Amino acid sequence: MNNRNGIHIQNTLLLISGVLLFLASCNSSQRKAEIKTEDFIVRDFIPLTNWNYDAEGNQTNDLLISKSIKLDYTGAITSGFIIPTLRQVHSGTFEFGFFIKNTGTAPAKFRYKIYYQNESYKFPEADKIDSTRQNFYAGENFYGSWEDTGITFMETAEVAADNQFHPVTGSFRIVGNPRNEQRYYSNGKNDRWKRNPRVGNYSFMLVVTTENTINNNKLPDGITNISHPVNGDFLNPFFYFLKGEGRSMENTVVLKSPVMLKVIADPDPGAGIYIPPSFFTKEKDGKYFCSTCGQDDSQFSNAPFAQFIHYIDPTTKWYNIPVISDVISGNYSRMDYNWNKQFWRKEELIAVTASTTKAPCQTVSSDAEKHLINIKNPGTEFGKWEKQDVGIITRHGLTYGKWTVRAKLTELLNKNGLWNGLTNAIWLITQAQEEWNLRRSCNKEGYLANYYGGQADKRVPSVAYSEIDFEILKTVPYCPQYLFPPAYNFGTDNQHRMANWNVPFPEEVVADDGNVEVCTTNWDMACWEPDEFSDGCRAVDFGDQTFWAYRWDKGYRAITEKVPEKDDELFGSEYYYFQIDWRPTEIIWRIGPSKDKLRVVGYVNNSVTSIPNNQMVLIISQEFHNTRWWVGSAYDQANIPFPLNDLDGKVYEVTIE
Amino acid sequence: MSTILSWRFLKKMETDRKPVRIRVLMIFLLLIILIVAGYLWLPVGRLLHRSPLNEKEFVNQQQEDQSPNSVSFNFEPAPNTETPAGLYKGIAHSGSFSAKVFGINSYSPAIERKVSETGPGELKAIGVSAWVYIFPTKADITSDLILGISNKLGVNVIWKKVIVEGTRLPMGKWFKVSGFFDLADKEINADYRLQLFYWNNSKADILVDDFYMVFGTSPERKGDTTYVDMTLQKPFTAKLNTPPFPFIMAEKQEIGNHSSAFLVDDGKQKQGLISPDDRLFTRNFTGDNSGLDQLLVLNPGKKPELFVYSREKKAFSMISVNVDPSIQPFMDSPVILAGRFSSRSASELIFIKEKEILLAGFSKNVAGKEILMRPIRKTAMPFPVADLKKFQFLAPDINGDDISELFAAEADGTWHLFKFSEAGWEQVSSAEAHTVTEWMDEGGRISFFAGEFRPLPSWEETILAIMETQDHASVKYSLHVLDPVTGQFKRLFRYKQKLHDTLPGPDVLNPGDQILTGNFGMPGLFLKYNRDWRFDLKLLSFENSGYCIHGNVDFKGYEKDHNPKYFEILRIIPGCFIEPGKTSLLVIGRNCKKSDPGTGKCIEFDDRPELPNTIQVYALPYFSKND
Repeated sequence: MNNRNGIHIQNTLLLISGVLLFLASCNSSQRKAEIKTEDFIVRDFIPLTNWNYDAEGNQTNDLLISKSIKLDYTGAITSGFIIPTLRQVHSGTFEFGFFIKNTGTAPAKFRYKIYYQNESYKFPEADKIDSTRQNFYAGENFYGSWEDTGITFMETAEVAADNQFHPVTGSFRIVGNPRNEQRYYSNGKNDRWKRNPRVGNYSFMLVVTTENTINNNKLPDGITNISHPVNGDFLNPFFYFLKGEGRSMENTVVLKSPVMLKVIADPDPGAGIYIPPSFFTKEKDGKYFCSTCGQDDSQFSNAPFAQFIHYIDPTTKWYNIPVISDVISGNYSRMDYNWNKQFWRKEELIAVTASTTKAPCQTVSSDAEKHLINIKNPGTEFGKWEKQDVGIITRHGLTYGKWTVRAKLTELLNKNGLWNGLTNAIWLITQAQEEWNLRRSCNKEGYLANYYGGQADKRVPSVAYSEIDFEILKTVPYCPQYLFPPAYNFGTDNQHRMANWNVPFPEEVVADDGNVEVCTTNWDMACWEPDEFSDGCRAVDFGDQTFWAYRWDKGYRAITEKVPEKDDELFGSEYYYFQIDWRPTEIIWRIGPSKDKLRVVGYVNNSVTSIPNNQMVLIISQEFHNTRWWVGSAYDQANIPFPLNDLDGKVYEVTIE
Repeated sequence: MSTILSWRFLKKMETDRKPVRIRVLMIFLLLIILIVAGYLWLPVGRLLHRSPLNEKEFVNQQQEDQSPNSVSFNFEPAPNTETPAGLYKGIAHSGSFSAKVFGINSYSPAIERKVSETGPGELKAIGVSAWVYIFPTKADITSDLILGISNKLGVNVIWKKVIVEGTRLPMGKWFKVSGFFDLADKEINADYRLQLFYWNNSKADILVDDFYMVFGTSPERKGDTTYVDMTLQKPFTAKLNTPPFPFIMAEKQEIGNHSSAFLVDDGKQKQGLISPDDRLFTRNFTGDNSGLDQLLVLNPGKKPELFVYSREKKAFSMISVNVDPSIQPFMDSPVILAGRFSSRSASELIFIKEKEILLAGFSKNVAGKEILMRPIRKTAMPFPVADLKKFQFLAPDINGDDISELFAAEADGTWHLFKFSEAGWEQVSSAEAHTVTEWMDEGGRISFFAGEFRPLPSWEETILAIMETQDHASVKYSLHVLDPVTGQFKRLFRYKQKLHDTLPGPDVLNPGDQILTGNFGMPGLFLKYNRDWRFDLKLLSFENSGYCIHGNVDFKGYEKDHNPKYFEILRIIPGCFIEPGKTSLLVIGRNCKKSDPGTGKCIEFDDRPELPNTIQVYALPYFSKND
């Protein structure tokens, strides 16, 4: 696929050629084995006859290899992702086909149904202990069938009992909320975007059976109509037909194709930035609006990113020194820091919290030519003291996925190892704290209900809040606990003796000069259900690596790991990769100079923390944190100067696969 | 269990009427069992204050450059002494020795301090650290670095620990442990004692070294409240003389000395290692037409040095000054002033002793030749002086005729003004003629300064007096000029002297301030330099209604992070060094190695690599009326 957005227009000839190719395959040497029942034989199920892009995105005529497709973002904000769209395939659907031979004595019609399932981010269909039972969580898997779930099994034309294989073709598409669950409806409308198709590999399963099977309701209702739960839970057809009772259903053929479809999300940073009218309006705040940043209809429909406006907790106020300086480019040193730490009076300080922009599109911009987004924390001046956060957020939620960002975010440390006060964050957050987006229940006492609820917060069975973070800043590791926090000497304000105010940091802190901490966090809202839920430091092994996860106490809503990395490498180079690999039972954080050289810097799984399963969006931001949140940090945000010059960042690429 | 069994046994004994000595034996055995159980499972040190080690047997730990409010200890025995018990030689984090903590329920030696020794104010937090070495073992480690605080009876009242336990600890190498304990909610008396020691309750052999305690948390900033709150979403409006003030950056000028401590350092020769304690004068002493001030360095017992700046070479050079023998006895005069007392063409010096005054001048500067400091006139002190220290002397040009007068004032309101003439020092006016009530200090502290403080261009200099009341509750200042008609001093402005209601602070004029005058652009601008608490240099001017603080002066353009304001001692001398008619600042920075214990004055400087001695020239931006 040469076109960046993966949008193609297929003409009728391509459609016809796809069918012809399918038909030709009945004589091909790659014919698949036949599967026989008493009444019929089925062979050569090919799920994607009209889609010709292989797993690497190259065009191919081979129908029997796995394919790939990029999500079409056009209009997806309201419709949800549709795979494929009319912009990608002329018909707007995938075509599939199979061959059937009637081995009965009379012509007959047969019934068939196609199912698809996301394989990359699923729970195993069978229970780990009793493989004859469906895995408790398999109902969460993303699977679907006909868009109209009321259509159970489709009917073939009458097939003669002529000992010949007859072709059967059909079409389908992958859409959000494939089970048409009421949970995702609002005001009678199916908001498919609330349960968007997952990225990753899809498998396709064809089930063919006789009329008798369907008419006599031999298949469970929840299998023929996937929108119907069975005893309150959804029956996963892949379990049913491949591992469960359906495996031995008479006169029923189940064919799972080896051909898979890899779905990739590839939002173009150059496709514009939307400004939600809930924060700003064009009339009052549109001074910096332009063709690639604003809130017109096109940007609403098509922009994959919005400007992110942080929520600023007013209790995070701090009293900043009145110094404005270019920490990154200048000579600002520990001696400067120490002097400023001691020798300002309260009257001279500036009370601030982190701030957000008052002029949308001023600090973020989308470059349509270079396909990148620029972000900046603006410099400030006397009288306008400010430490302004900046960020962008994706607009389309997804569940699970390998979220990879290529970006050059601002450097955090200068040549003297001094920190400029910023935290570079690449993080996932719940798309909405609404009922449709609730996480699965926490079955041990529940979750703490509110993010800001404190220790006395009530516990509830389910919450919609979820967050998975990369936060990279200058702080100290939590683990090992015997080295936390460092024993700082805070000095005294005695100008007549330099050793009194220019006190060195502890040696282990100095040893980390030049390093920033890559902090990886999962917000599990203190659900106690994981077997090894605990507080304090705990080792989490991943292959031959051990990560140390820390939780403040059993009522703390998050678990964090920290790993030191060189600031120059992550933010002094042309760009760097950051990846959150969010899976149903684990989360892996990786970074690296190229996509093929990523290394793991954080790992958790569902034995230590509750992994979210709701829909999340991605934020990339450069933020000023109150260092009260990062206990033991050597540098206090209040003692770091306001930025003299803009602190720039660039986002080159976001891929979710 | 043993207690219950023993009691029952004893009861049975009683009923059996066994002999008494067997009963005693049983009780004794019971006590032994209890003690052993306690030793094995109960850290006795938690209950009772442990005996600290005798620190006299060890090398003194405290370094001269040690950070404040902290204690370090590295278990090195003093030389030529017997090795104290509990030490291990051969494996140490620093030095040769460490402390042993071998086996179950073992303790390292403890270091101890009284709470009263931890610094001023209440003890609200303590940080501790140590280095630990565990001999490789398969044993599960259970150990702690313990901070115990006990009262004067030796009973432990606070017990904090850094837990070092588990199976994933480093072994066979030194690793650090640390912790920080918030004690804000604890009541700790000054006579309580702190102890730091290590406790091991595992089979492993452990060594510890380099104990460290640091007292206190981040100190609260001085001051009352913060005025500017940007979270209120209102634009900032500056208020007169209210912080925060804008920054005015004085930029380092090129003087060709490669940022060295010598005023002249061209790589081949170094001259002018000028100390902040040297007697320095800035004037044009040789009368050349450069329009620049020269720097004269006078020190008793040394030959004077005169430094002149070349705008072409962008560097200073030194001219050697010969001193007429008749001047030598005056070189250590308590008061020396520079001014144009007898001539408008070049500046001169007056040397003032209690009984006499010597006026001296300088010969012309001929390239390559030394100049001569020669006497002009020696006279008796023109007014009675019982104690010269009680007077402050200034050399203002009080009437704008480009000739400096001699002004002398005493804190009780006594003052004199003299002018030099052929006849010697003629009195122009004095307190006997009229009193200046504002110059009577009411028993407090008063300082006098002379300069061009008018907000309009003028030639006459003004006398500024700053006075602090005896109770330090308020500060007053006054500005007076000489009325040429009446010969009396009158207020420069119509308002009465200003009273500051707040306690004296860095934003208020103080008698202890150094007032640095010169031409900084707009007429009337001057610098206020104070180091009572911190480096504080502000640009001010007087107006009809009071004074105005224009901003805080800071420095830029210096090497690395060697900001002059960081020096423990920083002398600032204004003068037109670099550009005619524009005042720049010569800064001399030093740190102190040794102070006089009585006076606190530095008697030995310390050239430190992180902030090496410096002499530089900085220039403020030239302010126009609209700045």
